[in-house]
Amino acid sequence: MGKTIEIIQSQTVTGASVLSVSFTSIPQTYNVLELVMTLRTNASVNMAGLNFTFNGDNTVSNYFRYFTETYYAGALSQYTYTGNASGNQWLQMPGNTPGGQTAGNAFGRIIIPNYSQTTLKKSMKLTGGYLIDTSSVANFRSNQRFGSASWNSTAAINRIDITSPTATDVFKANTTNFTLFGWQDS
Amino acid sequence: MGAFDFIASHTVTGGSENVITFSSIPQTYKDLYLVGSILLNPGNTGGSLEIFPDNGSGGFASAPYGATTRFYIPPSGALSTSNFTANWKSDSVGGLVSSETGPCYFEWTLQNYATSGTFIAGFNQVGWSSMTSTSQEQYLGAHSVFESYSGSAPGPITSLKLAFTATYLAVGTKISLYGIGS
Repeated sequence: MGKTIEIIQSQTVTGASVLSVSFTSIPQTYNVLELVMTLRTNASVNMAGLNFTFNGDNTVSNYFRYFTETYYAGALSQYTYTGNASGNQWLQMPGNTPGGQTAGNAFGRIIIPNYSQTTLKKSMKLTGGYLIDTSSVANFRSNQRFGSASWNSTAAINRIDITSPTATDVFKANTTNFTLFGWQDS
Repeated sequence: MGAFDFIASHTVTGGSENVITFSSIPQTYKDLYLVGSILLNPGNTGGSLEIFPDNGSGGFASAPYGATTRFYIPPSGALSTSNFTANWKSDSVGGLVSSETGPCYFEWTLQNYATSGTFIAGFNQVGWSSMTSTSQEQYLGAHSVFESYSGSAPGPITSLKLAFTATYLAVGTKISLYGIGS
């Protein structure tokens, strides 16, 4: 008893054409991984997806997601994708189109308990949301997601890749940040 | 002492466990936090999770009261919610569908647990993304649970018992207890 949360690595995108961020050689000495993200694309789009893979496993059918989403229009909806092209597209990042805005980022957080275990497959908590285009009440848009995601593997997670699936939807430099925390258990 | 400390964890190692107990919980934190991944034994179809806080005088005889809003995907695909008013529990944790191999994510926060003489409030989220076939996916393939609670026994909470009814836990299920604040 007595130990706490540690930053494993924090990465802020600095380049103008970055499409992917990786955490490699993740230590196996923690109990829980927590990935906290500030997300934004520099593309002229309303919104872009964001894909997640573990240990270099790019077989999309091995990834699953289920989340409930509230959207700015007021509707409450649910999304579940099992083994299709969007199975590992878990979060979104806003772009430059809404209101031509320069502010407004998405928040993302993934908590992965027992990531170093090799007995059970991996399940994790998924939370995300954004507030964009605050130029007027009429233009205001928001989105909140909460749910879970899974990886169909019992392997210990030693690598996480976060990738924009569209070549033009680059991360916004000096804004997009990915920070990986480890929660200790001794 | 730090603001977020590991207290204890339990990993299921045998095939006949359905109760996990954290006892002698330190009274030096503000909140408690449970986190883990849970899977039922393969072939079990059903069962629910109930959490019994104990203040040392009332035992684990009865579960406190709670209200749950559940979001899930029933066969119709529509959004549904439900309330549990008799027990502080979340049902349908990973493995409700027979042969489900994907565990559920589980977290539970218990605020001001060490406060004497007052009812304790809690909050949880359980999420389950099915790894089974697409036909099973449509039946409770996942859900999330948010819950508030006014207990039948006041704090301080000194023990927590997690009981899984009508089923056993799969080997590898692991739940950890953390203390928040001090």
